[in-house]
Amino acid sequence: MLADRLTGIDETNRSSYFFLDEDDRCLFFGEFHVGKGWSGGPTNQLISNYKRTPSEIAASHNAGKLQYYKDTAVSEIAAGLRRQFSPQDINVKYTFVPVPGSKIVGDPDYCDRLAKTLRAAFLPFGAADIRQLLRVTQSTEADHRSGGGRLRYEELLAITELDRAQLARRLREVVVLFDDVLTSGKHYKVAKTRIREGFPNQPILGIFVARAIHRNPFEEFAF
Amino acid sequence: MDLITQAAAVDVEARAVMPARELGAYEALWAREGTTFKALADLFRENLGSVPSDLVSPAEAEQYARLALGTIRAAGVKHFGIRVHGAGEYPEKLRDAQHPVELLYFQGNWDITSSRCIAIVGTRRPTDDGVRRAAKLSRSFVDAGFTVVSGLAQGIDTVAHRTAIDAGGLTVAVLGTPITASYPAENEELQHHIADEFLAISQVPIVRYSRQGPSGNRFWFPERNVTMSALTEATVIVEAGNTSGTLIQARHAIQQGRKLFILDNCFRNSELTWPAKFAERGAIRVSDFEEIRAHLAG
Repeated sequence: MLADRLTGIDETNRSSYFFLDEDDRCLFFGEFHVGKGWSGGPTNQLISNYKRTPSEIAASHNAGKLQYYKDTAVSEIAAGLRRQFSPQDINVKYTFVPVPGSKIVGDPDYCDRLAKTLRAAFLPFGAADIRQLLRVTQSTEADHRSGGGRLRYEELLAITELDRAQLARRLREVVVLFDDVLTSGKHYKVAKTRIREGFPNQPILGIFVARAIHRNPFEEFAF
Repeated sequence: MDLITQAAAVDVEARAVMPARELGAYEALWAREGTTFKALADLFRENLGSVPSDLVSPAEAEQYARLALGTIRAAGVKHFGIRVHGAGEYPEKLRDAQHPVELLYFQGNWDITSSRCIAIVGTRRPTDDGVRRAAKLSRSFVDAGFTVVSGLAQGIDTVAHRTAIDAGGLTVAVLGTPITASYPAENEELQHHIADEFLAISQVPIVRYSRQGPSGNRFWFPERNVTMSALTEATVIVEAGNTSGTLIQARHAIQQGRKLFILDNCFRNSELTWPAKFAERGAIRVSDFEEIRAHLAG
């Protein structure tokens, strides 16, 4: 089960996330230990199940089991999210937005786990506002699988855009950007930048299943 | 009010644990006269589901956060984290303690707590045989894939940590000082090494510690034994006198439902009254690592 309370990024842990600054409001449930795999603890196991790609699952002899674990992770994360909000806030105050993944719709590895999680968490309340406000215009290698060839911030910004079709209704008081792992803050910052271009004063809150803890502790917690 | 209703009553951001605010609130609670681990545990029992910042004014939390973070910086601590009951990665096994800690500081790799952890403890002034036994056990636990946990004290603790490191294993130090201090002085380097490469944990409040002298601060040591026991699967006592602080850990290990192993040599020392007493209460008398291993599941 996810933690009862979210934890925030503040002066004690912000320096681990290159793209975050004091104006960024980011919360997370647990910690994902990069490079530690299954032995990194329950949060590592949850994230591994959650991020399993469609092609990985399809290629496995245990496809049914892997899909079940992934679906269970979606349910668990949805339940954790739901506990953080009052029904009133869900239905009135927030617009929930999944941060776009690395693949475009139609790509064999396109995965809508974030949107699915938000829907599972909040749709039962009747009037939740969940929108795929952002999209990427081309598929790229996911950062955690890219073996060092990560997209630079500018490159990611260039292929991320607001989906105008999603703007027929006004955004609510606060946009919640939801993603699985806070690694450097790059995806969050790109998403925030694109939203702020269209809505300069829009309050934005980042919520993550976990924050990444890198191997060298000096790089993570340093003041 | 149950936890879910409580969550629903408060804004998501206001309810989130902000590390600086939370450690400031914990420090503020400890700065109050008469605060003990028992008093704090009672306070949180009366306020189920609360975190320290729910029980302290924002101004007070901020004031003590500045003091604690200032001390942390001044001590040259370059990296640290906290664990808060109710927030992510807090070790639920701590709740088995009689007066569980609501917040602790740590330095290093928290994921080590997901490994199988065994505490090896004993006297600060061991015999040569005691040193030999502690080293042999520590090495055997490492070879079997366990993490060796101890209290960074002189004697058996130091041998347990150093041997685990030399054997290429993992070790955790549960400190009787805040992360901003070291005791004993000769283990300062070892403490830093463990904090950088492995894991050091402390429940000791930084500001309170800085405001009282050695006589007040010696009480943190037995308290850390309670936490050490709760964090581990079992405790092994290598050698200890009748008045050793190690016996605090023995008592709490039994109370917490953890396995307690006492080496046979302790029973054979006719001057010691405690081994038989703990054996009556469920401690297991063992001669070597193989016997201990046979009692541990998996």
